[in-house]
Amino acid sequence: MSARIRILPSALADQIAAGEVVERPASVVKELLENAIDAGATRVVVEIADGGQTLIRVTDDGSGMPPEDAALCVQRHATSKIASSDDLFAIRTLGFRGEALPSIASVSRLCLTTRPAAALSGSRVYVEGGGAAELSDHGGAPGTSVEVRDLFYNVPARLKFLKAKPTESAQVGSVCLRAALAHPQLALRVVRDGRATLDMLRAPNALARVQAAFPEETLSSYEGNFDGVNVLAALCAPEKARAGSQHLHLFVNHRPVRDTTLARAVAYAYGSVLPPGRFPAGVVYLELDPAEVDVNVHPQKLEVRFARGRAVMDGLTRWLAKRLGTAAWSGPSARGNDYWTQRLGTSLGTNLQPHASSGGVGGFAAPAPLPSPAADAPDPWGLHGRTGAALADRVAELTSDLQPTAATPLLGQAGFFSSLRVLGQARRMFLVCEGDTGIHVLDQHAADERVRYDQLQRAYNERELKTQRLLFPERVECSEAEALAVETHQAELERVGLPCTRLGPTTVAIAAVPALLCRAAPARLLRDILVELDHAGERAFGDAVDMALATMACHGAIRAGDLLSPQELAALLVSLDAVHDFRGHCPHGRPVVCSLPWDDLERRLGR
Amino acid sequence: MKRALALAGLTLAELAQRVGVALPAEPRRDKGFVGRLLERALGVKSSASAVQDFPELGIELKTLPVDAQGKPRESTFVCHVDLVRIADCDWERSRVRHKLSRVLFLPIETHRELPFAQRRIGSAWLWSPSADEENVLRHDYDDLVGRIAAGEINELRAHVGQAMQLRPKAAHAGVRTRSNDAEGAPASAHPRAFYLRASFTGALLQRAFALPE
Repeated sequence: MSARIRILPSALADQIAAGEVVERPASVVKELLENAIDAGATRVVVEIADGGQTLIRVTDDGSGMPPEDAALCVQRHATSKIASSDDLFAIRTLGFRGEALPSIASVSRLCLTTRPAAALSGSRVYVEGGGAAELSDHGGAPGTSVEVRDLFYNVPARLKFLKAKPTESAQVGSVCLRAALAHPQLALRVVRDGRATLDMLRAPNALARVQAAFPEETLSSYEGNFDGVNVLAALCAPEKARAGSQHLHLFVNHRPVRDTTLARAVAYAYGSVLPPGRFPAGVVYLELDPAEVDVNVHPQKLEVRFARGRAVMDGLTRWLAKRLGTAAWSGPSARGNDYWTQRLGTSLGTNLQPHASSGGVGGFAAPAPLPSPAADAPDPWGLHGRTGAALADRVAELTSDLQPTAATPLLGQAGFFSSLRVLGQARRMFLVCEGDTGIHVLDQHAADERVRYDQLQRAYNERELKTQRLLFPERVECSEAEALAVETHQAELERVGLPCTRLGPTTVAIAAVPALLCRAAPARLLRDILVELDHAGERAFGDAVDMALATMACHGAIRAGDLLSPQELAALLVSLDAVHDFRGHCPHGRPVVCSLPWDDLERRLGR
Repeated sequence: MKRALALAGLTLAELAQRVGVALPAEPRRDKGFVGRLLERALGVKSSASAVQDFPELGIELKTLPVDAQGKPRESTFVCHVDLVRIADCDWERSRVRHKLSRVLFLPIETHRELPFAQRRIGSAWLWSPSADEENVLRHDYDDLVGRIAAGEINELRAHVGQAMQLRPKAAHAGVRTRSNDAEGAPASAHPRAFYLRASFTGALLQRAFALPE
């Protein structure tokens, strides 16, 4: 016999609803933090014990609630944040559904104490497992404190799905960090099992907050707007990108969001220097008309929907791409900074580098460099022009515990590379150069790859990609799938200067190669490009072309092991200066140059 | 042109299979096979030597056997010479100029060690003489025709001419054709034809495919 349909008891309905909102302790903290921020709090303390399972307490100095509101707030769909359906389409608060407190109360022992600043006394509401609310008078500081004890005590099935306590604590920490990033003016303290793990003072602006939140990251910041969207971004160098987007914090109208498309839009802005699947670390704030964003997509409000989704994503990619390309991710890496801080007791300063076009904060004044000897000064050590293992060993010794740093700030300066004096080629792999500020070691392959990529891209964009026809087309024996791919991508291959035809079921012929790539082996080039073009489904076609051009540049570039003449070395440096963007990185994201400032060198050698 | 480009990279065996003809058992004894195969593949209708291979397009088809370094292995036949009438025909009206005004070259890979069936067809390219090239050809033509008119046909050797030369062209050494002597009296000589020198076509190849000099 089938069961009869019946209306569920409200307590059970609340528990089911709680499943969507209260997934784990971190979601409780998120909801309570949002309530505190919506109440205008300037200081919030989050305390947790045992990963949030036995205790979560969020105390704020916000507006507080009168007794009647306090009694209502634990009822389902009771909220002060919206009143009509029109409000749903222009939400300016973090919460609005009126679901959080009743959901939390239905799966825990919840005690809320609150007092408006103007009131003489406050109220206390106690709810156990979704039961009736007990209201009483209570004395206390202005603001609200919500204490959640024994989370999921009445839903043991949920407890089984919680991770280890340190993992849950870390999740709470992430939620608090995102809230702190979203609201720089908020002072936020997180206490975990009696120990403060995060203590954020009020910050004057978002960039200062980012700097305080990520002292170990070297980020480059950009500020501006496009198409009615205000953007503030602080992003890391390509070589510091991570697999996965969890280190990329995205905010839309001060709301932390997890949006894969938005994260991809940011990653795409790096072009080929960021391989598919990798995302930069950093923060991106977007601010736009609330009417253009739908936050009512999921109860957790971590997802948003844009009214002009495609335009916002494309606009963001283009806007960032313009800026990232000329960014000078500078300064020693985090470990390098710590190294000097620990050993010399001096800090090299902040790692947040404002982009030239932005009005960001940060930057540090480097000590004035000593003048380098004149180009025609005598060379008593016979070092100039020396090529070989001795020089390589010396450089390796001097730079042994330096991180391969991001490009120096000088990279952004016009004529930086041309101003370098080449001391020699080491291990037929590195160009050792002397500049005004220190010694610079360039990776010859990465440098030439960047130059060729830039030339290819420019020619491609201007539809002037010159090809060199092969007298006898290169026959490539391949699998049937590869031959089919050649047939499928025939037009794209022709556009990137690699026209191919299918001769037979498993034979294709390469008729020409881009004239810039005389060093490339056509068959290998074709196979690699097919792999990139196959990714066109994952990325926009333009990105697939970028990747294909990057592969082509890599194949055609000077290789490690190539001995270069002085003329070739000089030409390479001049060409690097002509590069449009990302001149400090090869198209696949590796740094081109590693620098050792003179003052570091002098310290190391005890001068 | 599209059809010619589509042949690039195919071996002679593959092309023969596509066209539906058998490869000769002894290719050395059938020197014109490759030319005929390509003409058939490209749909050349005319076989008359007086007109171009693609008269409606004004294009002459020429195969160019090249070695592993991309150098032509032999000179390229242009056209037969009418030893009696050629003295009255200047460069502008000449069959040589007509044939060379637009040439579709088809390189054929021809190494000694490469089996005939595996020889590849190269990238076709359309050539028309530049002003400089035409000047050189005209100079050679005038020089060679001048010597024929002077009745020096039997003394004319293949070293004469910078880009173009005159060489015997007959099935065997016993074949003779009509000519005139120095006074204009009828005489006989071995049939001759104009050929482009390998150095000339080599330079064209070098420019077209950026080959090392």
